[in-house]
Amino acid sequence: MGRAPDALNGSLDLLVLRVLARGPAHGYAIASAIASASADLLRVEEGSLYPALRRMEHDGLLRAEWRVTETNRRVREYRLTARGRERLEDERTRWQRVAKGVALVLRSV
Amino acid sequence: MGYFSRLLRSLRPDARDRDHRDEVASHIEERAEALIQQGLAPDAARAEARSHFGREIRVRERMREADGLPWVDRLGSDVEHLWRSLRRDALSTVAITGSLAVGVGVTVGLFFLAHSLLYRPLPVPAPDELVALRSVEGENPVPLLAPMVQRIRDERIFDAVCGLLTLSATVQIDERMSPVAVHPMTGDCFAPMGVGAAVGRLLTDDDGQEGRPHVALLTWEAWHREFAGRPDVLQQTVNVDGTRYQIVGVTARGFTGYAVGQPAQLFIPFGNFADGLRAYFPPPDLQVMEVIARRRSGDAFAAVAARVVDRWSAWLDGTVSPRLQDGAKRQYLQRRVSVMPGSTGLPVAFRDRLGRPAVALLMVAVVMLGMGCLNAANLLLARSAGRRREAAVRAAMGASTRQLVREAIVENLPILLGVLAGASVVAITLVQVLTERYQQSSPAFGLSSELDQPVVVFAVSVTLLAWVLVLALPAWRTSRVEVGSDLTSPRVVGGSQRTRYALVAAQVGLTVVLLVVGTFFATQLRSLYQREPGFITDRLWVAQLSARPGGYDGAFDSGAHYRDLVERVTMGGQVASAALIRTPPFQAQSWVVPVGQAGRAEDVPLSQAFVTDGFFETLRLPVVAGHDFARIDQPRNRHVAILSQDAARMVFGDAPAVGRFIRVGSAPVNQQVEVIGVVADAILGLPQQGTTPVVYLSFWQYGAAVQTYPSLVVRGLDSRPPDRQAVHAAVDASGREYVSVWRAMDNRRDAALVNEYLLASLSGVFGVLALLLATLGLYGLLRLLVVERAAEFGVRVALGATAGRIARMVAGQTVLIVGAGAVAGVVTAGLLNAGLSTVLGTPVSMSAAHVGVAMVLMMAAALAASAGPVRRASSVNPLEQIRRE
Repeated sequence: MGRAPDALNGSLDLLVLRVLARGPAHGYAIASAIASASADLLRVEEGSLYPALRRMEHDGLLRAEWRVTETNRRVREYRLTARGRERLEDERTRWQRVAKGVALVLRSV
Repeated sequence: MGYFSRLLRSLRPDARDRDHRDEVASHIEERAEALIQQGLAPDAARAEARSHFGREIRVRERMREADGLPWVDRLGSDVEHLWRSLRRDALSTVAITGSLAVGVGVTVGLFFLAHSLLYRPLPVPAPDELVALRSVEGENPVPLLAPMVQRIRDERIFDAVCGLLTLSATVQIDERMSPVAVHPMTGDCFAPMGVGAAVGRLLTDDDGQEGRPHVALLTWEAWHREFAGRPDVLQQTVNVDGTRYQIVGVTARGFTGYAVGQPAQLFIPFGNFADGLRAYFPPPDLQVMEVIARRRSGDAFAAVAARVVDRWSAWLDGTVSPRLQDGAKRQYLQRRVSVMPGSTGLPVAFRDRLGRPAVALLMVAVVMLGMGCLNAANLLLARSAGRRREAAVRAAMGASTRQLVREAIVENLPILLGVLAGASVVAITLVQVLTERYQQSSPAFGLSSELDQPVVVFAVSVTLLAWVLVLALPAWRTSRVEVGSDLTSPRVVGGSQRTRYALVAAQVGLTVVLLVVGTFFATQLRSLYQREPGFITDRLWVAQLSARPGGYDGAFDSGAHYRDLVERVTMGGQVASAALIRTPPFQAQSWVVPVGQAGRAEDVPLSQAFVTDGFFETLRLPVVAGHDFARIDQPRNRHVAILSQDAARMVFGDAPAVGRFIRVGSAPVNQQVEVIGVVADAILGLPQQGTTPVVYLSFWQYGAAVQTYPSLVVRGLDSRPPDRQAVHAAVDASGREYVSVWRAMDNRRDAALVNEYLLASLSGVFGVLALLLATLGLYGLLRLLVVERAAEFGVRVALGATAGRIARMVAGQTVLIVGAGAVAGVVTAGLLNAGLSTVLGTPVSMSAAHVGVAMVLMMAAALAASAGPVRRASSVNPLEQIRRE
């Protein structure tokens, strides 16, 4: 199976926020988490992930800092801000409504 | 918040890029680590991680877009690009900017002057309805007689008729006194002509009726300069030569009278003068006036002119003065009328004198601007030819055409901005310098500094031309970059080589012409300066004296007054010597009189100068025979004269003159004048005219008509100039006069040579500038030639041609272009002699010496221009060129 479309138009922010809700993570960890949590159905392109992270950081949803990992490697770690948490809830609600609506349409036609 | 944090990131691009690079690197390493743990070899794991990541540059570019403000980033990269290109091409950037700035600036400045003097419409409604009227006697234009104004008004051909004259009167405002251009007016000079009032009321014809109060009208500029725009100006008076005039109004802003170039300050009615001022004028029926009229809207100019011509003899008959003798009356009645469009003001000779050289120089400046533009184009083409490979490489790497065009525009933006700023400075400075120079010779000179529509349109058009050249040309060429051909060949396609050669040769020709002209005027000026005046100008100063208001009243005894004055000035020991003269040296001496031996019919024209005793000593003008005048000379004694050596020779031949008698002019008292001395020849009039034969008459033997408004010539002690304060105090002490102008004799000579100075300096500047432009043009062309033919040179070298041979090929081209241009230039300069004499109204005769100087300069410039390209051509690397092919 080929790669899924890039994180399902517009849902990348939701996925990233959701992953970070579990705790701070760097870019590679976020991408891996999404891939594994979706059983490799969703794979995030790096070309989309990193710009999105920067954008969300500027929007005040995330905060980032450089940190040294246990394997002694410098990584840029992102964590959710209070605003990010609020956004996660909003996005989750919105997504659920969209998914429900889409499901209803698919069933009825 | 997001905006500001983005802005901060954009402002620190290096830190941001490092951050991105590190984050991407850490991502790849993390993935590689994971792959190693899955069992892949480290190298393979890293390669796989890298390949999985995709195009790293593209990802980082997108990160940059999200992590900053794109417009700030673009600006930053533009500035960086700009800085890089400026550093690389600083010399040609400065050259292009400088030549265009000077070209545009000089052109706009001269256009402003020529337009202001000759073509700018007067600031009144419908100026094209104005008509200037004059009469013509023989070939000479003559103003109309004052009574003619009323006569023309009565005919009702015009809506308004205005008569004006100009006089320099001493005007006292508060405690300050100065000679001011006062314009007595009659008829309908203001409201009916469409002139508005800014404050109070305007003058009408009724104000000139006998018995009416003395009232004056200020111009807006004079109100602001003399009264600082005070609102209580209508409560103020001005003292015009002893008569107090109540200010009743101020004209609308921008209106400075009808004589362009000589802005009016004060208008008074012509007619009801008090006695003091009346003495200025001849009887009213002999007073001449400039006349300007407004034709009825709807009447065609030709029809109005025909009606004037039709009525002209009746007007002449009705205005001929009974005071005129038969001959003069006949001459008056033979005058013809001249009806001219008056939209640009009165046709005063002054305007032509300054305006025509300005037009001539403007034409030269336009040619020069054209040369500057051609050069800029050539240099820019050469530059863009050199850069096409770079642009092609960038295009191949993914830069869009839009980006390349933007960069080309950005790259040339400093040139445009530099041209705009430089041209403004050049234009303003030029106008200021020329205005100040002209004011030195004609203190009344002035021009409105307001920019009207044609000036703005001209300035904008010229600047746009520069813009199109500077920005559009390179941008257009960059937009036509072709990756394939431009990467494989550096050749520039398009543009006929022969045309470019011809253009540069034409530039060389024009430069030679300008250099010849510049050299001619410079040598002419130098020879005028080197001409010995016959007296020593060092430490010699001239104080021109004017009457205080009422200073020359009925009780004024001029003889006694001036004896006292000379005593006071010389007595204090502050000056070496002092004397009076009616018209000081280096000024047009208009008094030429027929002089002959007493009792004989034949006579010769001599300049007549009225001087006091001590004049020759003050000037250090040697008395070669006889003696000086004496202070005790009286009008009633036998009149005495001193002749210059030339004059003595003209009147008496080789026979001694002292002790003999001459007649001077037709006055009865001057029919038996004793020659008491002979002095060395001197330049008493304009320096251009050289020494003239002079008959000096004793100042003391003539009345107030000759003596008033004299000049005091003063020589300082030792090496110091005369003490200005002491001279002023001595003049002020009488309470009748004041020093209106205080000037060094050398300075007077400079002022008298102002036209020559301007022609020499401007044509000199133009010549040097043209030389610079031609050098740049030649350099641009040769550089382009070397770029275009680099491959050919490479092949030639590979086939055995020496560097010297290649250098000779380029040098040969230079000789061809410069030679052709120079020949054309010399021929044109030869043809120009007559033309220039006509345009400038001064004899021009350019000789082989002038041509020689021009050629030497041109050759030196050609050598300088070709040195770089010749060196570059001779150092072509054949291998590199062939590889490119």
